Amino acid sequence: MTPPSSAFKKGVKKEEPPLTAVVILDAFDQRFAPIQESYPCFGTFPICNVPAINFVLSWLMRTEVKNVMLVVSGLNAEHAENVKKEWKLAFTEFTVVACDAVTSVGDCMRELVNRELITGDFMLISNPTAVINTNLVPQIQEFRKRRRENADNVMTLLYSNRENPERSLLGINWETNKLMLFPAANSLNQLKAEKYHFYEGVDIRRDLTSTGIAFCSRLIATQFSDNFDFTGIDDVVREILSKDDILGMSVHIEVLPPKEGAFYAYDYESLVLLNTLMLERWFYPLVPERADPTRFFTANPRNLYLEEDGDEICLKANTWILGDQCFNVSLGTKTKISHLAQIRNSCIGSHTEVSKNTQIHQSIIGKNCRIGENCRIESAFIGDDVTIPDGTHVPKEAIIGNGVVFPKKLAEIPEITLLNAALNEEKFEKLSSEAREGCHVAKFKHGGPFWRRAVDGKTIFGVEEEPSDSEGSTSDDEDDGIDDSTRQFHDEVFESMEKTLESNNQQMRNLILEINSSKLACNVTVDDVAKNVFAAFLELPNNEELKGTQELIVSWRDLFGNYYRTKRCQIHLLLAVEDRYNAVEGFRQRVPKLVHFMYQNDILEEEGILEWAESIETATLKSSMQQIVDWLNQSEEEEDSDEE
Amino acid sequence: MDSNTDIEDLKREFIFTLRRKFPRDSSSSIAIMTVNLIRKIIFRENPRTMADLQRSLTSHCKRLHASERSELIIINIGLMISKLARDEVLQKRGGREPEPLYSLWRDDDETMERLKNADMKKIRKDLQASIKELSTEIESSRECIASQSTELLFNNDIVMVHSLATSKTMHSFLTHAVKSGRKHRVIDVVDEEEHLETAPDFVTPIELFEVASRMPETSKVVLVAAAYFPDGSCLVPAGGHQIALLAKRHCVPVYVLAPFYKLCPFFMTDPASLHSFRSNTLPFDMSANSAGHVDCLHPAFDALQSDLVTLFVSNTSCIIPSHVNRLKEDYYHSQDIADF
Repeated sequence: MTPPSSAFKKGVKKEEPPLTAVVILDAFDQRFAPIQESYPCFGTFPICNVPAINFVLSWLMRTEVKNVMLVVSGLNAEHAENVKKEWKLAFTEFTVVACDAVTSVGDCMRELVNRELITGDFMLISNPTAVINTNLVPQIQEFRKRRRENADNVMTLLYSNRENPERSLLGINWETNKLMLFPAANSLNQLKAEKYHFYEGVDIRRDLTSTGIAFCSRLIATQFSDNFDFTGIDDVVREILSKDDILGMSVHIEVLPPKEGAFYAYDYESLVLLNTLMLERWFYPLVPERADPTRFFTANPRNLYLEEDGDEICLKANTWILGDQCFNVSLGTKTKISHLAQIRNSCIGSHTEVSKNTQIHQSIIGKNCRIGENCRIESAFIGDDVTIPDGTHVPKEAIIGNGVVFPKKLAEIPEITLLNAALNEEKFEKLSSEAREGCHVAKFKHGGPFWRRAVDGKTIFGVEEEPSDSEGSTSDDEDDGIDDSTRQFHDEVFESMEKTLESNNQQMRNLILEINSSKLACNVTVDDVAKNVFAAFLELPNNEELKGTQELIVSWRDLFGNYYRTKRCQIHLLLAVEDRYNAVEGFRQRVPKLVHFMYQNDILEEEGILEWAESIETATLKSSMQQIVDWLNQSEEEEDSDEE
Repeated sequence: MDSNTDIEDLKREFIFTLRRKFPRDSSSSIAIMTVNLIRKIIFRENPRTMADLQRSLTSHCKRLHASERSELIIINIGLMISKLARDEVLQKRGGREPEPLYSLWRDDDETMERLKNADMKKIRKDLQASIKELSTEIESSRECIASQSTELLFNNDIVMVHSLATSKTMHSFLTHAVKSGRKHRVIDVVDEEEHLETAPDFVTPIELFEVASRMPETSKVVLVAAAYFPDGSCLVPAGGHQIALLAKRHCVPVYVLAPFYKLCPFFMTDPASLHSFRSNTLPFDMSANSAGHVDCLHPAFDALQSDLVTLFVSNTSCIIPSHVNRLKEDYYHSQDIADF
């Protein structure tokens, strides 16, 4: 498979400096906490026994990129330095940027902007497992062409032509490749399309897989620093799309030709899939035996790879010793594999022993493990120094941390996550663990699986991200007719408010930011925002008494000033009051006073109140509001007469 | 800088340069790159005796080759330079000219002793000079091979060639023949459809499946070797085996272009061990359904047995397969081969 020769002849034009690559070496996801011990840095995760970052740098080396910036969190700076030692010769400039206390890709970008490291257009590789098999010449050219045509074409996202496992959707203009519709964070496989989108030639595409690679202009980096609640590139995309008319920027999608593959891993399932794809050489010339600059691999028929010890290389390849039931396997050095074992689509670390009649499918197994006879391991991740006793059936989608001796009694629990020591719950506040049978079983507190990322966004958590939903309430109230995302928005706002209330200095600025980010994430309308912010506000514990409410309204004046400037929003505020009136008995007699109070504090204006009062359906509320309405009408008349 | 880390850096840079190029660089430039690398390594390591030099060359070449399995050239060049050093030592000590005919056996004790104790410092300059000669020889080999085209291709010949698009040597071989006024036709067997359009003017491109039907009208077949071995067998780009078999069936002579640096001094008992695999050629969207069930055999090379080859066109002359073993003695020393 040779790309057309024309692709190589066209050099980069002189006035355009080559792109800088920004590679993020960490995955900020608590999902990977169980394997943190073996692979503290996500970039060193072994794909076919080769640390993933080596693949990224291998393909980067073939592109026009000369400068690489490896961004890493402060804790893992050492790993980044090791990578630099190995790879610095392949690029003109290779910098490691260690950022302390970063918890997301967004934080990393903000740090880069703060240090003024981004000076021009750049290629953002936001995941250290992103692999691709081309040199990206036509794609980069297209990006440059768009940038020349219009400086507001700020970003091009790269997608490969492959149905994605999560079935996520995109809306793209088929003529210009402009991105028109992007799914909300809480439902990757749903799009809200309007009729006019279809008139304007929008293709809804399900057959594309994201590659984790984006060509960005400098503006994208500043987007991150302007909105310090953004965690990933997706947030920027949503921001640009939702504020299309204000920012005037546009995002484009570049789809790779059918022969060219690209993929990246974001959870255990996709890691295993990436491992298989890599073993099957879908990304040639990016293949396991040519990715690591310091280690030696041989490739054999049936996609079997064997790592060789540097001191014992022989010219003629060793005769392969695996049984003919095995294919797509990568073995580390000095493994002992029984001829009667059946291993498929797996990667096995060095010094590991596998005894006879054992079946291993779709798994990644670490170093120095001992796997007994007659075991069955399917879709599992196993760390280093693990012992699996004879005859064990490891449950599907199990994750087993370092040093665990697998207790047979736990083999019944599906999707189990076993650790040798208890999790540090302060560091990973999303997770909990309990001791059982001499091991520790880890769980997501809200109960999602580790193995697979959920498409509704509920199981994506940054290492320190604030709690974003309470799953119980969502599922209970599903049939009350309220849109799920609106409901979620309401809950998130409520939590943010609670937190603000607890904090000593009640910073309205932060609260507003958090509400805005929830708004973006849940993709709710301005009306819903107005209604739900106040509804959440009313549910706060301080608002049991009118007095507390009044005090809070005064001290949170900025918040209301921000959201309730227009009449329309004020009406939605009052609608929230009405809902509350219908739902909570104790609230009823306070309503007139509350409305009056807010009128006096200039949060509400009389037009809004009057219009709302007209529309009230509940008779009792209408009558209790009548007094205020009359009073307002009266003062209006007085004003009118004054003017006369 | 420490000389050891320096050498590691040099080697790594070499590997990066190899891997960065896709498709791969021409083999003559890889050969020259290797020569330069080894020259620098010798210069930096500054081995004291011949035995040291041999040992270090062997280990470096083994490791370099292990990272790039398909490049046998790296081993070849290492052994050639080792032989050059040996010759220099023997000449310096006033010994007789090394006699290739006898060197099939191991050296006698006297020479062994001399090699062991020889002071490499004295021959350093000469060694550098002869290494330079080696690289000029590599550079000129393409021209030398091309110039032999007039002796092999004649008017009204119909020549079938393979892998014209990737081999510069093949290209200059054919253009040289055209320039010197030969009126022959060239049929080029191409691997991929897209090459059908990019083929140069003087050739008729066909695809591999058409070879059988065009072979009866063909009068010569020219292939390019990726490596050739003392037993007269060789590796050619995949597809070459089929062409050579058809040529044999129709009694058409098969010439294999084989620059001297591609002569690998080992007998490869198992040519399959040298197969380096290439890509998975399926469209990527199929990976959604078929991942885990794919084994795409796409070897880079075919092995040709010696009876399928009529002549090897080396840079010095044309040789029949059974003479390759003799040619080996010109470039390699039996001791080096035995110790590798």
